[in-house]
Amino acid sequence: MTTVIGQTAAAGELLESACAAADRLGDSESLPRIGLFGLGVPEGLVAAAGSVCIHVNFGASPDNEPMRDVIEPFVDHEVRVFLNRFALGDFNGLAGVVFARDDAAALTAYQYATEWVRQGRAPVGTPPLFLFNLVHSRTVAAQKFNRIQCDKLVNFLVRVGLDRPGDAAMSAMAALSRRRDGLLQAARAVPGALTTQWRNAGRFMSVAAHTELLERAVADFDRAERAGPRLGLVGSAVDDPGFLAMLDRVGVLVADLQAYGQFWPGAWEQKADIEAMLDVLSGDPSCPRIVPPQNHRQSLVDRVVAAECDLVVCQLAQTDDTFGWELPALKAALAAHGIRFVHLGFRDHRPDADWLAGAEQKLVQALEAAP
Amino acid sequence: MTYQPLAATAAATDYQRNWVKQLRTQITSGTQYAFVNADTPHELFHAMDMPIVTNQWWSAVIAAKQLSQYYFDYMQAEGFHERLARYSSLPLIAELEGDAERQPWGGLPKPAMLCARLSADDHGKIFSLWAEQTGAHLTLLSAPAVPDPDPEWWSRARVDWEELYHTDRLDLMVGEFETLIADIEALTGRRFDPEAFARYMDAIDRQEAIFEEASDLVATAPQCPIRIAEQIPNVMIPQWHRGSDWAIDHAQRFRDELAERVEAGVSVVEDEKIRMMWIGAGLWFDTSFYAAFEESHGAAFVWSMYLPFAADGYRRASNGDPLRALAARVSAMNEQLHQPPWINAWMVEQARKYRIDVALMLIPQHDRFSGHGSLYAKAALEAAGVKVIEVWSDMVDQRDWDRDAVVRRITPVLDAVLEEKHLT
Repeated sequence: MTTVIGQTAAAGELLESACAAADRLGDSESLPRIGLFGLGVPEGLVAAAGSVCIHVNFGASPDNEPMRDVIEPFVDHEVRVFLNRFALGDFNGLAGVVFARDDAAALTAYQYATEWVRQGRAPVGTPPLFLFNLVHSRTVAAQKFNRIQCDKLVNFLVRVGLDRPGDAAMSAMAALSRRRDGLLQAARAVPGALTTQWRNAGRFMSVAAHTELLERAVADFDRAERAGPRLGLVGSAVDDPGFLAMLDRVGVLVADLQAYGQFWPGAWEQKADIEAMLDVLSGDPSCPRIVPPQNHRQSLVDRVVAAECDLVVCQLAQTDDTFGWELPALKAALAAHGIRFVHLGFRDHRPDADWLAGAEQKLVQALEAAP
Repeated sequence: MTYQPLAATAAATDYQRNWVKQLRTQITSGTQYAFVNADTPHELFHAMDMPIVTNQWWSAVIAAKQLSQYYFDYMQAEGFHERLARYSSLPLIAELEGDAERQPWGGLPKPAMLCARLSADDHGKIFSLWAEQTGAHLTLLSAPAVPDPDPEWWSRARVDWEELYHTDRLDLMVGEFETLIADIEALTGRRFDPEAFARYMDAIDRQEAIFEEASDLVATAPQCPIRIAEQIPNVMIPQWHRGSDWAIDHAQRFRDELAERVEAGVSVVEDEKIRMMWIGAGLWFDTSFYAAFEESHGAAFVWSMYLPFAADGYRRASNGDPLRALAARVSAMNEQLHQPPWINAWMVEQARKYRIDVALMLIPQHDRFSGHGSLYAKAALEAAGVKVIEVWSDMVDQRDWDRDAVVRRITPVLDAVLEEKHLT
């Protein structure tokens, strides 16, 4: 099923529909579409080549799971969904799919999908797959390596029929990204559940379309200041509307520091110059693989403190094997700033009502307790 | 017939025990050492005479002393959740716990340097916590992936490694090696000698060639001459000291003792009926499990990865640039054991070479990097006619291990194999 966003509904509703439709959102822009998996791909560069970036890791599980027998239970939910949809040909309309090596889920998705293709089991029309191998380090050797990866990405884009991105197109994309970023900042007055949908709708349309809708949606929105305890969110990537609505009942989400939250779109998208873009991208502290690793935790603390959070909420996907290493030190670092920390434990991709009720109770109790 | 251990086995374990004691003495006298992951360039430390202790080896030692349960309970009490990797973290947890006397041999002194490769997402986290705890200098090596892995890596990696692993990846790794060398020079006050390093790399290649001969002996002998519980220390202890005179001497001793056994017709079981492979890291807290089916079914575990990987994972022609050859050895070391199609293709090749009937596949649920690719490998082995039994457990955490239950699952499979072979 394909959903095409109409032009007559309110902009906020259009963004919400687009977010819900995810990669099944209709293509009204007549540009080739490039699939993206994971945080850490220079989307402005891909778009400047004359394409629309479409994130492919947000769909729903298909009924039929052709790759079930080769996917271990500890593989991330989003990878499982992507792989089975990939094997069913759900992404065959894309000109290509780019995966971010330093995104744990994306690497597994790339490797398992590539092997499926190698074994001759992928359906006819499967798009070419590309691994963007950038490493999150700023040493001289890493800088040279990352520049080569960028060149390889451009060559891939040209190979699938796109243009070599020029300076003018890069500048235009960077300007759009800056404009969009300003709108996303303004949208923070919007409840967290809604602002997440507005932000993530941009994963499935052009930056220009996203910016235009955001502009209208922000203008339409009643900007009365929201009151309540100021919340931070850390841990695994989460976009569950029920979970975010639960946070909205407890307080105001002012620092959504997880891969489906404010980590996207990355700050590197606002750079027109490739070297500057790579410098920001390779030093992005939101990447759990950043070197030095302490930058990740320190960045979370800095952003939580800057956002003046009263309480930080942590939640983990059932498959977490990385963020858990941060928990004791992060909790201690936040406590040193007088900020409370509640770890809700593991949750399903779409947590049920009981889990959400229990989580809400824990948060309310934590807020009621003396700091 | 009662199985007799090789004389080489005791020699290897005695050597390692004495080495640790000497290391402690050296460190007390001011010698600095590095604590490193298994897939890092040990060769650089050895070449510059800086002692190293390998994380995974020390983890196995702690587990073998039946201490893992205590430490993992402690880990959870400290706020780390129960689904984090265990094999790579057990030594860190022991360090955080702080009671050195509880650890094997009185524990390890604080290292001067820590080194890990970012092959798994959690390695950077684990080693940075260690660095925060000890103040040791931390080196993390990048691990970009090979985007187009050739299934038959083991044949191309010997000489044609530049194309197999890609020039940009090797350039990056060599660049990071050069930084590491400078760090070791600064810590030790010694200079890296490229000519001596070239000779040292040649020595390692000789050692791995000897292990390749040992592997061929085990694979082609009419019946398996050695338990894998003995293969592992005889390979891995020299590997931790690879290229040293002792390591090469030991490899020769091991190979020669194996050859004598094969010549004399000595075997693990008198009438070998089923040949099994153990896929994954060792079951360090219960290595006697590997003998569990010898009497009941005439079934011997003949294969574990450590012996054949000494050749396929380590032999890299220098091609005129030993440092780059080392980068080729290290740049995909772990991935070859876990990433499709590398793991599936190698498992099938090894299963054919060793005439395997049944494979037990250890899949650590909470050490994802070590578990990835398992089901692809399982499917490939089954397509090649090997029966595969999944063992969802952990190499160092005995809390997940129910030996009786595993034996109950394996027994009917072995019964069926005997029936198929008309050996009942």
